[in-house]
Amino acid sequence: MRRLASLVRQDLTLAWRNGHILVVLVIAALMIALIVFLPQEIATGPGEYVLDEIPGAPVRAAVLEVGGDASALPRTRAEYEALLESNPNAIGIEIAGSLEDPQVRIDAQTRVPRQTMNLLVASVELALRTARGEELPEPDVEFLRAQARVVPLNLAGVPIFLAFEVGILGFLLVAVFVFGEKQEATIRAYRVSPGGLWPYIVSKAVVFLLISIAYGVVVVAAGFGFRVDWLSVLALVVWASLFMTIFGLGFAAWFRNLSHWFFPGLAVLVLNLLPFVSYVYPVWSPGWVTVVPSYALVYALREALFPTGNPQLVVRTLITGAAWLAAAVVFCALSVRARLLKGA
Amino acid sequence: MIEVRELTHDYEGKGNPSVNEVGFTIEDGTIFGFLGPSGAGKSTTQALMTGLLAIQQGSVTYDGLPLQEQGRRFYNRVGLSFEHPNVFGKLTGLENLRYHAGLYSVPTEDPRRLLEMVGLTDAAHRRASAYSKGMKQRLVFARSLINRPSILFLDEPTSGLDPATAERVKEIIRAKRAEGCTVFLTTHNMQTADELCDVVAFLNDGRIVAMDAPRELKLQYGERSVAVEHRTNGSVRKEVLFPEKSEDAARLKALIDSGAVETIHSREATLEQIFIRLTGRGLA
Ligand SMILES: Nc1ncnc2c1ncn2[C@@H]1O[C@H](COP(=O)(O)OP(=O)(O)OP(=O)(O)O)[C@@H](O)[C@H]1O
Ligand SMILES: [Mg+2]
Repeated sequence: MRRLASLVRQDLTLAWRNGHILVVLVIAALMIALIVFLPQEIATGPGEYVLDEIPGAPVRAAVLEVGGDASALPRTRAEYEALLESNPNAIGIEIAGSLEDPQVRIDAQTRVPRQTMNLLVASVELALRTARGEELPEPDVEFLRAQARVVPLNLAGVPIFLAFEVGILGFLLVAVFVFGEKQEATIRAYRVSPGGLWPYIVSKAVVFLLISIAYGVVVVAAGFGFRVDWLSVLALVVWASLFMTIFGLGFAAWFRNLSHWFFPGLAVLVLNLLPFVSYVYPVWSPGWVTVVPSYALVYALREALFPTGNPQLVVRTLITGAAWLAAAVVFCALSVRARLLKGA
Repeated sequence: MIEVRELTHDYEGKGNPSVNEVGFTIEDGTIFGFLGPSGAGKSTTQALMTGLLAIQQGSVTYDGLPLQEQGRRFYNRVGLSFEHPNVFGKLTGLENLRYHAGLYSVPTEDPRRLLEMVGLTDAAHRRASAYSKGMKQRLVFARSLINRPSILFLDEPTSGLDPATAERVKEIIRAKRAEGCTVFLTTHNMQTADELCDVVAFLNDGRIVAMDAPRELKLQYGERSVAVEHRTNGSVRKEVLFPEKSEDAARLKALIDSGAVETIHSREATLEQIFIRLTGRGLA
């Protein structure tokens, strides 16, 4: 215990002097800035402008009545053309003739998909019918699941930042640490001390765990305040940090220095990153990506931060995670023993 | 007691061992000097004896128990200084010692006292990366003493130190011996070896070519030596001879008679002269 405490103090001092802690602080500050300065949703201008040239502009009136956006409904042709001019992606809809016999013209400035076109035609149809005063049936909408809180844009990325940053920090920084010790050959002095294998591994894991927890708490508190399911969030952060640090330590043990490590290490980091792509574009989630541990992690973090009434997801992730962690510990112990502390 | 038997180590496995059937015994509380020119295999032998290198052939035993069976606790009583100073550059001298001390489960020395002993008190709070080579070396030497070892391995502890500091280090080594510590001292400085060691072994090309107390070696070869430069087959060769040995006296006479001698210098016999006599090469 005394041995471990001494090692942890040493590794913390080194993490500070190597600038690792500073790097983490800067990243945390960036994340907080993102959370604070990013709007909750991005307001985009309307995608369509409607010019109603039917005398009396009945369609315009009808659309306004049902809550339409006035800025999308120019009064004059000059106004209409100016709007289209300044929004090259917008679609213009001109309605002329009379309510009974309308002439509709769609001005698409870019290629518009067929479905969008059909939807547009249907909406115009709907607007005309509203303007004629026809009764429209309200469709029944039934929600299949409990409705989740709408995720504000500035917080949507937090599960990713948390999962990704904590993982990358553990994996990358522990490698930097190990190669520093190899380069300075202090690892040789450790080998002829009674230090041994486990204090060496545990000390590194503890140091990056402390850094990760601090990072996680700061970023989450900045975005969500303190009314968060801390137990789930911290359990997931702890797991992510331990897994990536311990795996990273075992992985780094096989390389001579940072430049030998670089491309294989980068490959691991990219692999670790792919689940986040799936998270952002759920359409792309091939089976093998779902196996990467960070896949379950990022969804479990989302569940912990934006609960949808599916807490088993967190528990299941932690249980599978425990198995991954056990494997990482075995891999790490064997690698460190064989490659760093030969014979320890 | 440390016993090394038929130790052989071949880094590349190409049948060209760096350490070749080396064997010796070190009595407790003595200083054993391991001498030889650069590349002779001194550091390799030390690495084998301390477990930094896995033993390929031969055996190393401490008090009858092979190194491989000693376990990690063995290192509680071993101190080791490295030929290339290896300290944490980002830690201060004091921190380097303090954190290293934390690894041991036996009483350790006060780091400040050790720094004072090696003259690093003023630099105690400076980062080791800002130390000169000699300062780093003293720090590594101090670190090797932190656990009050009963076996001390020192690889070139005085190389690169100024004479006064080297003298201080030698004093500390003598003091350790007085406490009963066994010292394995690697050096290519014959002077240091002569002053400190109870027994010296000459290592050349991975083999021990002579081993005895410095006094005995000198008695064996006589008190005076002559260095002879002579021209043979167009090139100048240098030989060291000990005229008190009859075969050397005969060789000297033959050289003089041949008329090829260019210079003759007579000097007091030193370990260095004996080494050259044995191997035909210097220690530089
Ligand atoms: N890691 C290694 N791989 C291959 N060969 C090595 C290695 N380390 C040392 N050698 C070789 O082993 C031989 C002995 O080296 P060693 O370092 O033991 O010499 P030394 O007597 O300590 O020399 P010096 O006085 O220069 O420190 C040398 O020929 C060296 O080239
Ligand atoms: Mg050497």
